[in-house]
Amino acid sequence: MNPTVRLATRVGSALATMLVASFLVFVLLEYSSTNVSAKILGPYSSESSRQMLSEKLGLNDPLLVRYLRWIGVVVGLREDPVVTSGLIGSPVVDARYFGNFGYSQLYKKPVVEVVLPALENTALLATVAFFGIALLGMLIGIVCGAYEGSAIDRSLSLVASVAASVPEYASAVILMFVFVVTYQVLPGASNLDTTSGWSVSSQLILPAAVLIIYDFGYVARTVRTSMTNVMRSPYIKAAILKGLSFRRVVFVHALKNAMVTPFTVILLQIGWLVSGVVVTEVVFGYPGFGRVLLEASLSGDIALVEACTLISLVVVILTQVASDVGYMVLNPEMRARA
Amino acid sequence: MSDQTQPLLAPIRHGRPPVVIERIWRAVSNSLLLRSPLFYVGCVPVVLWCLVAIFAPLLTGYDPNAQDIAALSQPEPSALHLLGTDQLGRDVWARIAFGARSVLTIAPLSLLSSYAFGIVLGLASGYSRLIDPIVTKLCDVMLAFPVIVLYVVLITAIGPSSSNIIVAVTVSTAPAVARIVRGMVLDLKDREFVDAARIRNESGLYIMFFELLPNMVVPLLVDFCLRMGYTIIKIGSLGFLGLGLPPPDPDWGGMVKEGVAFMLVWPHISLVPCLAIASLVIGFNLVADAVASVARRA
Repeated sequence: MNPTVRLATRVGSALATMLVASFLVFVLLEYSSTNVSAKILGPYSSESSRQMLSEKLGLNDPLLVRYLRWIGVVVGLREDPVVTSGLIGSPVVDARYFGNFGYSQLYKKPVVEVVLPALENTALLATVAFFGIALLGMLIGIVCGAYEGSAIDRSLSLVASVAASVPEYASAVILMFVFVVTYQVLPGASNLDTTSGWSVSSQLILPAAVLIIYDFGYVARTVRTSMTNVMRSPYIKAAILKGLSFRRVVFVHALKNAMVTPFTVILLQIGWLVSGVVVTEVVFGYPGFGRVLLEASLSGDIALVEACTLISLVVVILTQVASDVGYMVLNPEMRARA
Repeated sequence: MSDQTQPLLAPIRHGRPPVVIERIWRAVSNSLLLRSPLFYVGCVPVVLWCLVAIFAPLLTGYDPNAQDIAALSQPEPSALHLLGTDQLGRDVWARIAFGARSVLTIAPLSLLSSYAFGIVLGLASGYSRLIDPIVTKLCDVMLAFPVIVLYVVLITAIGPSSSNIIVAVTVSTAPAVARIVRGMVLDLKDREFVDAARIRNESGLYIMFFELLPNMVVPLLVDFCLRMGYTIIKIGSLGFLGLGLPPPDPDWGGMVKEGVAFMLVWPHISLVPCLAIASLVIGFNLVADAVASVARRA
């Protein structure tokens, strides 16, 4: 198949997934018209005012009509009926722009203005954690795979599997107990506020460590499996028999081919981090995307929950496409067939 | 992976339950499982916590929700309260012991329900070309959701309770199970024993549940074990995020959440449930690793 065609199919399927997923989110959160009115009027609004709003906004229309209207507003093709009808006495906001998820009742401002700064903070934490996960996972995976079955392989594999068994909140509490309560060398809260005397980088250490501990074992395991398969192949045996040093065989000959499959898995960790950060951010009070999602959910701010869900879906699906494309580029077999 | 599990997929000719049970028993008793030290190490916490859950009322004299006003100023572990009390004066050990009951019932129940739905969906989509594209696409969509985000959205929509936790886990896990089952059906459905059943004029339902399903039992059991620890982590996360069991019922994740606020003064309140969850999950994962490596070699 032509690579362009394959890419187009992949992107098309990703778009279809996105559409179906957004429809599911819409149905789940907005199926009852009282839900939507609550989203606009706030969770403590009265039943009668919700009923009135439902009628004014045409919330009793068929589901598909309402969904298309909602998507139109989100991508900026339509004006937000809530704003144009002047139903909320909130500050003046644009009625039509890309990413119009409505108005957050919890933060009293447009949803984008809440989500974007939170996303930036999360991107900072996730980047640090991603590199930690990728480097540590690859390092341990390569060592274990190269010395398969040895004592070092067995002990490192055990460490990786135990680390992956400790939930984020548990490792966070244990790390806090050691570094914050007992030795007092790190801050217990990472609200990115430097007035407390702790620098931003010191505030990032614990949350990033929690994410790395929970996830590096998964990457290490994938790299190890791929590495052992490569190490058993004839060309590696030939290289060893030729008298090349073991290190050279591992790092020059084996590594290149062993990293093709794990590459996909490592990239997919970006998608995992989007939701993996929720718990960690809540423990450390980190002002990021995950905490916004949770606060929105707990206070019933539906518009904000929808925005967070759709954004995380976009991130996950984009990383999936990116890892598929990367795999196509990296894998010589796929290139030859193309 | 698939060629390594091949021997386990060798056809069972008449998939009556006794044959399946015998095969599992043979796989366990003949196998290296009973010789694997990690298996025993993993069994220790799992069995201990199961015993604690069963005998919870005998192991503590305290009601998990009763407040000891006298302990409020001194919540640290003492002779009266061996693991201390929490910020409301409730005995931590009593809450841990009764909390073990909810973890050890909700996690297996939600996995069983995930497998029930996943197996039916997977069998149907692997066996019927008509249903396949719909189920496959739907599974893709569900698996695109980040797990925690999916849980948060679902619980926002349907509210927190123990049955809704089971629903949330099922919605997020069943598609993954369906995908595995579908793959195995595609692998098995052109074998002779399925052709034989077709020639005998057996119905599609009979073939799916009595010819195909029994041949998937061992790989599915391995998968079940592997998912157990993960599910406990996720249910704990829900509790931690305040989306789990509604208070005041004891729930390990919820206990961690309540204790974190008092981390600097009374770390034991959150440390104890953390160690409980971690030990239980490590136990389950060690058992699962042992089972998986034995199944791969069998």
